[in-house]
Amino acid sequence: MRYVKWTLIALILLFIGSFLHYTLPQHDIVRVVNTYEERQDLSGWTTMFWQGTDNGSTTGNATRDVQFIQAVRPNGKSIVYRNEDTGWGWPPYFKFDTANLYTEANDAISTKDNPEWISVTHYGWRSQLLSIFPNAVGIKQVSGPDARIIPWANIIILTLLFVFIVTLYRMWQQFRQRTIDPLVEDVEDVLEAADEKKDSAIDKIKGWFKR
Amino acid sequence: MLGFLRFLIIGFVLLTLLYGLLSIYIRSLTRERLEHEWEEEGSIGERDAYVEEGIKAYERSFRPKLLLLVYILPLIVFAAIFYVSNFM
Repeated sequence: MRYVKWTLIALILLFIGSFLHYTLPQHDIVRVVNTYEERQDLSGWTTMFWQGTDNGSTTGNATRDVQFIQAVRPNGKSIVYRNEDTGWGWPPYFKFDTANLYTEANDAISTKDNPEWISVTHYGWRSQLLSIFPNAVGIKQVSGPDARIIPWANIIILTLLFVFIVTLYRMWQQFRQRTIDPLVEDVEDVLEAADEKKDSAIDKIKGWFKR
Repeated sequence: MLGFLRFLIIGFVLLTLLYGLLSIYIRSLTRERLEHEWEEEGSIGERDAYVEEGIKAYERSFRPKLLLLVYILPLIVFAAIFYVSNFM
């Protein structure tokens, strides 16, 4: 039973962790090499790794053109981002400037000989197997391949999340202490009283047979 | 536009839930504080009357209105994200 409990807790933590890892912004330092636009047939369960169709910015078809940004990391490995509006949908990046980002990405294209290092802010995962791509949210020029980027957004969001969870926990404790416990005490009092009554009744009955 | 409306409505409902919970929580904390105060002052007079008086004073004060920040702060955060995402 204990193993079941801990497995369950581990699974829940893993789920929350991957959810945060998928949703929170990350920065990659890369060199943009190309951009392209490709028709995507979005069906099956991996659709959830693409932008929803009802976010007020993308409209209703399961097949549509999606923009991509191709880039190369400093270590020579390649990475491809998709470039989609998040609109009013999830995750709440409120990104509407896909066309502008596409332009900026095109403007940032550089060659291997004369590299221009770009920090791409993105969320999501790249999986070759599932054909899913992280969504680029913004790009910014940086000084070099090992420029240091402090993830302020993540620091703030995770701190707020922590404060929020602690507050919820304190609320629950306060509720328990001031509302549930007194109720339980009342019930216990009633039960105790009933118990005493029962005892005295038993004594009474015993009394009948004493003589 | 429909997406915007849905965002507004869901946001409003969630924030209202948070507002309600926080308002109950803080009232409960205030009540607890008042009970302790009554004991510290030497348990003079009726306890319930003392606490009710204190709760009324709390309701009249500026502090419960600070809870409206529950609506205002997310709005500011939203504006900031919107600006950073699209115009920076």
